[in-house]
Amino acid sequence: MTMAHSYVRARSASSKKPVIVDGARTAFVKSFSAFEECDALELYSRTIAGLIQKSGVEVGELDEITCGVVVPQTKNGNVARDTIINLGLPSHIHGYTLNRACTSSMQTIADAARSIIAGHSQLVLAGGVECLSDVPIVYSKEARRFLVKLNKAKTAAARLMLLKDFSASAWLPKPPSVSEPLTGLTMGEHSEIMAKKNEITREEQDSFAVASHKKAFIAQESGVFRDEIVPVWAPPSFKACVDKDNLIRGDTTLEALAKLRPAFDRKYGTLTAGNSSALTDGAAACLIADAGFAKSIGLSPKAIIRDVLFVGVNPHDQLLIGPALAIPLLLKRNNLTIKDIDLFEIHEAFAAQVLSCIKSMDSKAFCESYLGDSKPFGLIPDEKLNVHGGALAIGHPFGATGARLATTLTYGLRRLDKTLGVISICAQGGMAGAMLIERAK
Amino acid sequence: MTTYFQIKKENGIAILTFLREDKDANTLSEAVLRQLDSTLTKVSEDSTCKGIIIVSGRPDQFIAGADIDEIAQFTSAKAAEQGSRAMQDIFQKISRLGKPSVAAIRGACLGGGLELALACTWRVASNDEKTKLGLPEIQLGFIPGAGGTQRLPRLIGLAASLDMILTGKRVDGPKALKMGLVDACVPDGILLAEALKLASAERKTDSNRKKDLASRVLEGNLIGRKVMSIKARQEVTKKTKGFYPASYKALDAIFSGFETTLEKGLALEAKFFGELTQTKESKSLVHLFHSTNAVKKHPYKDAGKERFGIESKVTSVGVIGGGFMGGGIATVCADRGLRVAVSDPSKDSLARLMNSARSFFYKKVKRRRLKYFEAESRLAQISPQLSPEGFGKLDVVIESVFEELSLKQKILAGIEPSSHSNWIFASNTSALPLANIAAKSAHPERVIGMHFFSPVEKMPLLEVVVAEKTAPWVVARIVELGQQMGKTIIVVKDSPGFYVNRALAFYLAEAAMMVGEGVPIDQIDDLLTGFGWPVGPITLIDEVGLDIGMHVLKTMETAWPARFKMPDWFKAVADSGRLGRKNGKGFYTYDDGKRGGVDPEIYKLIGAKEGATVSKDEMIDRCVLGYINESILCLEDGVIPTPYEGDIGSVFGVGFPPFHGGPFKYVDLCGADDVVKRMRHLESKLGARFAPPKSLVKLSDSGGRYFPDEAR
Repeated sequence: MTMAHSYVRARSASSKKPVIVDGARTAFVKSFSAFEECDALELYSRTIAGLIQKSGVEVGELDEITCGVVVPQTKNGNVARDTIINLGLPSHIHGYTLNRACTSSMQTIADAARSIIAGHSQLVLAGGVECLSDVPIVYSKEARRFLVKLNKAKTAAARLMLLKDFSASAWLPKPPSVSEPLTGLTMGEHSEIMAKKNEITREEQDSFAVASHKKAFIAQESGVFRDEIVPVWAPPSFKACVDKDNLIRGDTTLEALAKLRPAFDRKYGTLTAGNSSALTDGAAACLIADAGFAKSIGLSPKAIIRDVLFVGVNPHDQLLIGPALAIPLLLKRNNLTIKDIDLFEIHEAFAAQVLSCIKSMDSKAFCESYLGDSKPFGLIPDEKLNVHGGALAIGHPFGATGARLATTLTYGLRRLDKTLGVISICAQGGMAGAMLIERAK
Repeated sequence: MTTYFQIKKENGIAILTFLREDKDANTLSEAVLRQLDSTLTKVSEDSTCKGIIIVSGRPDQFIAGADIDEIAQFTSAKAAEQGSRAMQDIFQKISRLGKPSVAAIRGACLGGGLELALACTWRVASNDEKTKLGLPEIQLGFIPGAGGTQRLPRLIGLAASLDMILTGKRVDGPKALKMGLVDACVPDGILLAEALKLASAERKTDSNRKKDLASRVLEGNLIGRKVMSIKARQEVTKKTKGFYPASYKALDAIFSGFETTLEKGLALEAKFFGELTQTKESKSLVHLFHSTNAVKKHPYKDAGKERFGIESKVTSVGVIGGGFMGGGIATVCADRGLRVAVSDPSKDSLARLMNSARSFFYKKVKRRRLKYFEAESRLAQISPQLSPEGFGKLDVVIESVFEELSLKQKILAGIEPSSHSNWIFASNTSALPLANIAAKSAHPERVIGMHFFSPVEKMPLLEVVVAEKTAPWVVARIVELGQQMGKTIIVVKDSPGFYVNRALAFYLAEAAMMVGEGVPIDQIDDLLTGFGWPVGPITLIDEVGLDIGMHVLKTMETAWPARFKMPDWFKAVADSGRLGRKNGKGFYTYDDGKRGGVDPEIYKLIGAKEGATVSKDEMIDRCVLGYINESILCLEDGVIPTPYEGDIGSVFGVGFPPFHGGPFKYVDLCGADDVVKRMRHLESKLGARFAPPKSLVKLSDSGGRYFPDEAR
């Protein structure tokens, strides 16, 4: 059993109850498309402004605005605080920006909930953003050291001395990549490992991806996403009103996906661009409040945050397997089973990764070794899983995914007249999180 | 005697702190100057005093300038000249103190205040936004009279001086340092410390004015300066159309003074100053200055304080309708630090709106008025949305949709149920009665009119329209919002066309009538631009748009069927697909946005008679007195509370020539009896619409004036 840590919820006697008042997001678009000339600040500002209008919250009542971002920002280190200033919101509202990889905005929501339970805050706008159309390009360590030293050098002679042992090759910038700094492999390569280990076939992955696109397409066509999307007029020309996710392809087929070449392991690989999520630009946020306070200022919550849990796994083993631990642990400590949950939103970084998680939760061997259970946790039925499609179709702006899933689930429970839902997201570094959400009455 | 100057000595330097506690501004009156004079004498005789610093006891003002009321009291050019000489002498005393003198400038340093600073050996300014240096005298129809036209060119050169003196523009500390106008620009906290260092020669000036090539070549020699002078004169004529004598006198004072000694230059300046104070132009402009202050004193102020306390500032605005007007309103709001949501069902309208807001802010970045990130932030403060979701939670919602009563009522009804108790609905209607817009409202007390003028970014006026049921606190809050938006505001009563459009409609209708009688369109326009209007009446109809013009004229006709008649042909012209400039087809032809000549087709369409015999003076009178007549009736009806609102509304709203002072000042300047006579003449020829209003006849009979306290 590799589980070295018991995940114990900090039970609280607090009378505070964290709720989701509302959620909003931008359309999720392929990087270098509609939001090509935006940056994280612009996208997050538009989302926050849209959510304020949509929820009808009086801005003077807000305590915090927080933001999760994964790729470091070129100019706005603390996007959350900069958004507050950029929008001209009251300066008492404070905010921080964090990075917990793809669970970043799940973390900002979790933090908001904790802060509310502790009585520190009453009203928090928590979310995240990713603008992969605008990423910092990093020079080699040698070049970086050279530039800083050059800046520090006082005399011309000192500057010349620096030049002496400098090589031109150090000036080649390093292309950005989505890889693990401590395993040396990319997310895709890690998922390849998982696919092989869990015996997930190419066909299974492709058909999972096709299904995701089909479900998302139906949702898009029937206006499901209209509830959550804030239209954004994209700068600099503001000509295009971006209010539709542009990665969803309702016409995609198994045959079409079958033609794609493996992307991460040319020889034996089964992961392709078709069954992996694409680089995406977008932002999402939720208005989290204390239930009592929300009521007192005339806001009606849409959902209740019942519990949140984060786990870590050995990154060298199965990097993105976290949800297979997080979901069972979360449900068990709430005395719930798969049957009790109406909707699951499991983040689709790669079809292979979701399928690995699903399969593992239903595997006796896995549950024994990872959870210390004598029997499998169970199989999540297809009809409960990602009913409006997932990141494979909609896209995955890293920092925004958590808030997107919370928003989608919140609206989904209401629309489908369901009670309980779970979201779970895997993350870089061998982490995952899960959140239990109940529709507000 | 009131003490205006406190003296404190520090390390042998006398610090003169100027504070007028008897006024709400640090102005230089005769009494203040006399005390400055005696203070300077005292300091000059004090052998232990090694230098002086002049500083203000107000945080926001160094010296706001001379006391305008006192200037206005001069009844002859000679007296004004003597006043100017006296002030010059006192400032000369500073420059001849034999000890270094430093002006430590924080806040407004204008007119006489800057002239005082110029007489000092050194000037140090604070680097914050409050500090503004300028010579705004030209805006009052005269020129700086206490050495400004002489010392400024000697300090910063001719070209830069012309720019400041002819436009009256104000510069901040950093700009002043760059121009060489001040010797140091420092944070407020160390202003006095740095002034002390300058006064005791512990530091040198930071001023390092670099002359550009053109000014070095031109200003360095007599021929160059002659060329400059001729050029400048042409420029002035182009800009002012010759309506403002002060501009030419300023040129004379600057250029002639530059060629001679300071003493002779000062004498020349004083003479011109004296003459200019007695001109009709100056009296009109001084009147407008007074009027601007007068209209700020509206009776609703306390009602706002009562309801909101000191935190009454509006912070969020919703605009409904993303058209040209709505876009302008949103842009100005965002520019002034208000968060603004704009709702329009059309994605394209909102795209255009964001784009034009972007050009507006980026123009400011280009002119270095804004930093790049500030422009981005202002844009971020405009939230476009396709429906007015959440508008009930905002402080104020301004509707700027098509002029259709039922539409406006529907919008109000849609948001009102979700609104909070301090929520205000403002309509930007230009003519619809507010009472009708509020007719179905559950809270008519929270409905008010905000009549903006187009383009909102440029036009300074805002008519705040108060309906019978509008609550006083609502008026107070909206006036404050308008002020936040940087507008000059007149508060008027709900009535068809309110004030400005009502007076204007009569003026435009009269011009149109003459067109029907056979007077050439361009002749009418030329005559009225000759009177001083920025554009002629028919051109104005083209600019506003025939559709909108038609709407306003119709409203007037319904309201005053006996007195107002829209020419029969007007509908035919409007229906012929001519919208004016916006579709490139109106009374004039347009080529790629540029106005051409009168469209020859138009006369046929109108069915104009031929060979009209109207004298030029009569043409002007028909339009102008038509405007004035209606203004007076608005005053009689209580649409405007005082004549001040009439003059401000006319000058800032529709461009009534400022040098005529506005319709009411115009009557004062011509004499009520003269205006009555001219109206009676028109009445006899054209009918009852020119019958002089009763109140005017009464004024004429009693020999009274609208502004008895002001010089005539």
